[in-house]
Amino acid sequence: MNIKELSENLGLEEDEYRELIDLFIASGGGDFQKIVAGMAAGDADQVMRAAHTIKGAAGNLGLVDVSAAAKVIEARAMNNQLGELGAAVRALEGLIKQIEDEAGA
Amino acid sequence: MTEKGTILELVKRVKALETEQEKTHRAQVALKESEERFRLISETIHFGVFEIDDTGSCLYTNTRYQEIFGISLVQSLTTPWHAFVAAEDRTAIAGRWQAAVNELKSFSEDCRIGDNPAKTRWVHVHASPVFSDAGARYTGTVEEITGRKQNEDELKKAKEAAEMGSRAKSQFLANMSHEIRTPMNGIIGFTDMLLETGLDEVQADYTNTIKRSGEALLLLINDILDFSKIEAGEMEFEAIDFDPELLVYDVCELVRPKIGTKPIELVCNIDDDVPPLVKGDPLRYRQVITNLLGNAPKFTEQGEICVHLSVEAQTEHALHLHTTISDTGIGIPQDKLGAVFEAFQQADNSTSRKYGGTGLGLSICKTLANMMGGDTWAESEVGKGSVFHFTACLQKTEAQLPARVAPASLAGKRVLVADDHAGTRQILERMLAAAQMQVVSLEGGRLVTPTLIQAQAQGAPIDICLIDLGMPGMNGYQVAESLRGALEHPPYMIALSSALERDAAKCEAAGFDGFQAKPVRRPRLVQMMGRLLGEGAKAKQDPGENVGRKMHTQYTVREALKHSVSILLAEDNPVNQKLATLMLGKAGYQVEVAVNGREAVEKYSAAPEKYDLIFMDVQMPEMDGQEASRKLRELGHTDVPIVAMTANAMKGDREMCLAAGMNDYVTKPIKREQVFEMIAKYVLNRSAA
Repeated sequence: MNIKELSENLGLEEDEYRELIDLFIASGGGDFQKIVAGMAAGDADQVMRAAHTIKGAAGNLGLVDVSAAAKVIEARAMNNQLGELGAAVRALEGLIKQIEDEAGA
Repeated sequence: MTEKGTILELVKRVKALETEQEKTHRAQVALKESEERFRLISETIHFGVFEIDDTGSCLYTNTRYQEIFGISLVQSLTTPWHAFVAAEDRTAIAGRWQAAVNELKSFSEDCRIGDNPAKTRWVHVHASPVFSDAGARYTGTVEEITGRKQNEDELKKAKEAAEMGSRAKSQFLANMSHEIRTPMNGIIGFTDMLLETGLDEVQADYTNTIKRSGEALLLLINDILDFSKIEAGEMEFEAIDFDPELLVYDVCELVRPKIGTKPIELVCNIDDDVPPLVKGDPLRYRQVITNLLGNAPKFTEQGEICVHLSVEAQTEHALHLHTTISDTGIGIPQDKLGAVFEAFQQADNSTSRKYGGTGLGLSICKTLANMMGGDTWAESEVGKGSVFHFTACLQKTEAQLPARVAPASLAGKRVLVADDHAGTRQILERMLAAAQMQVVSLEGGRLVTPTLIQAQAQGAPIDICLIDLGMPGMNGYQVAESLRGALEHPPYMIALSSALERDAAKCEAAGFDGFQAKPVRRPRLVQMMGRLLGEGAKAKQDPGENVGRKMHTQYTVREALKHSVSILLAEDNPVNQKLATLMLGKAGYQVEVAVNGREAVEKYSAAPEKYDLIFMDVQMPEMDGQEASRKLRELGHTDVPIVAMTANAMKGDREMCLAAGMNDYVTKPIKREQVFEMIAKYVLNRSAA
């Protein structure tokens, strides 16, 4: 994750971008829990909405991988394919974790 | 004769011989002395000395030389000096020595000697060629510099450590700024959300206190960061065009809420020769004025706070702007006047307890002013008030806005001003006179109606009135009341008020045609009057039956008024909220956030004149963007442009948005260019209606 480049793309200072990333980690973590809970409860709508939120926020921050992973989840949830989400959800979790680690470093 | 001659000859020779001998003896003594002197110097000198002939053989070394290298005289004469250099450097140094000798150049180098790495010693070798008939010899010195080298090393290490420490400190501050601001944003953000959850009165009160405290703390942190940035020499200044008049008005608007309900008139006086555009750093310039002006309400209970912007001096390219901020507050004792600009100082320790603040604000102001080629200082009289001065050197800009020409419709029109505050009257008179209007000015409400009747009777009716709502004796509403039915052709009336609430409905009911918040912004006033008077035929009827006319409180925004563009952002995700706020804020726009469609409708409906554009996220909890847009249009808010922000770049989305009453859309992820394009399209370039 090249924070300098990502923040420049948005016309922001690096520390402003870091704040956004932190905000993303905080709120995205909650949204991710909603995905997990939604899968457990079989609530495709909840999964879709939470994935949509992550997709949007990540996209705005230029975190294309995260956004893409969330998009896959959103699309599958929309088609009610909750059973096929395992890998995508694990991938998303890993990507968010990675950002968390890199941002924390 | 011959004998005699011979004897004489002999005596002469003996004399000559004796003289010669004497000379030789003296020379020998001198030589001996010279040698003795040389030996003495050579043996007592702190330097090692050596001499090498043109074949490279060593001819002479002194005792110190032998001591330094730890060798005997014989060794010193049979081994070249560079053989004693530490093994790892030996070849390189011998090479450089040889190169110098080949070119008959001087040699001067620090060399490590000895083969014990634990006891590395350093010498400085210096040798220069000496030219004579016999060829070139080298004489040189060897100086032991181990102590000096060690000191140098230690200094270097200490310097590196200090630099690393300094870097670490800067880094620490940068990290801390981020680390502190992030949770602060969390606290403030979630407090906002908490306030949305239907709290009872007490809970809402407590929560609001948390929010205010959080915001105060954030301000303080920013102060400290600014201060450390200045300390670290990291403060950078931009050079961009901005309108100083607009900036001062904006700051007034920002500071006005701090005055609250105190009986204070906020007056803003911009000299006519202040250019519409200057080049500098508007953020820093604004920061100083905000700070100075923001202090005034803290220390003033009644009277007036006046901002005056003037041009102090100018050259071909530069412009010295002078801002004074005067108040009628508690004042500052003479002996404390200088100290208030020092870091961590306030006039009185009790001041900080009573009025808060870091004591950094003014110190930052002074530094910023100095960095802008100006200064800050203060004058004051205890109990009478204070005057703060701020000067800055700004650049003139090539890009010039069209000159400040008032609409032609204003020239020659008669305008009446009623305001109890002399300063405000004076400024209005000047503004209006500059627009070539004829001004009648009254210091109270009572004379308004008689003056209007008289003017009409004399065949010179007043075209437009500016009436202060808050006059003592007879206030603006009462004036409007007394005017009802008094005139066949009533003039247009604009209400002036410093009150925070803009009670549009009340003003409209009283018969006012427009509303201007104090301090009155010249461009807005001129524009409003132009629009009212430009309407041509005066179709004004009795306000009681007035149905066709609407209050002109919605400002038309020109390019130059960009900084006054206020945007309502409806977006539920905190990340996107923050991003949009940062982006728009940096571009100089004002942003208000609504967390869902319902709140967007509420916020907009509460103050429709406040917003120029709505950015609406399509997917939001509680009420989505389409529904919110439909609601707003149903409520009669048909003018305000609404731009959808949609992630679903699918076909039909655009149609859905337009069907819901939105004007346009941008797709997520949000691109700056797209957003600014929309603002330009729907706000800045919208022709004056």
